[in-house]
Amino acid sequence: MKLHFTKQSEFADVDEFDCDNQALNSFLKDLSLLFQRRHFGVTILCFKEEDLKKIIIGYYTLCPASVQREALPEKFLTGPKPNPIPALRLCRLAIDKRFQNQGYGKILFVHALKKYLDQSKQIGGSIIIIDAKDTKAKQFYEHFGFLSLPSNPFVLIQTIKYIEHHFA
Amino acid sequence: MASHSHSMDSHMNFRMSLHDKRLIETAAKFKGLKPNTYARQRLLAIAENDIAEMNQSNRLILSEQDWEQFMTIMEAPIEQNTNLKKAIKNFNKMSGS
Repeated sequence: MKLHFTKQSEFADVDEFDCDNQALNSFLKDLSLLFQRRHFGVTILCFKEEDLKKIIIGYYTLCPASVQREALPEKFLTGPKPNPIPALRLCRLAIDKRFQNQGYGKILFVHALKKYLDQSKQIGGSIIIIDAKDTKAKQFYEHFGFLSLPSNPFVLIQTIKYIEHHFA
Repeated sequence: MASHSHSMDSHMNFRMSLHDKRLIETAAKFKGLKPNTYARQRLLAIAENDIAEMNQSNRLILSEQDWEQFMTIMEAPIEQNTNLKKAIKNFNKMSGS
């Protein structure tokens, strides 16, 4: 089955999408376009075509982000690292419940990483931040080598050079 | 299908107390605006602000412990993750690259 990826637009029919999570459903249906129009982030839809109909399998949202260290003690404020450190954030990733547990999450995740990598080569960004919606999602990202922050285990990070290494 | 239009052909109706309505009318008069124009402009500004606030989470502020974790990741040699390698290989196979 051929999968297609496209940027969210007002022409996409997302009404039927249901990933069993109200917040992720309503983000796609009510907020994703608004976020995109204000350049807060971009939502990528993954779909397949069946009888000339586009069926949304899942989506993810990427946002520019920054890592800041103002709140840290002075001993951490030295060194060549810029402040804030440019980053990219995978704010949301969701799969329609009809397609869950079939490997689509991995496909969307790798697609998002590839986009990150391409983006970072164009405009910079050295860190990837991921927001995991629950323990299952957190374990999913840990499985691929992402590390939780001690202060918030549902925020995971990894470096662009780590991603680059694995795509090489 | 979502539509995106800026033409002034939609309505929003809500009930409020006479006291609140008078308050809005007074404020509108003070600003030299019609009550409806005043209410629409103020409400839109608040809505824009609320939407922008949702984007604040893109600033990650690290604690001392987080920073240590962060620096370890930044400086440490890369460890090969076979799960990620395999997922990328499958993805490349699927997309024909």
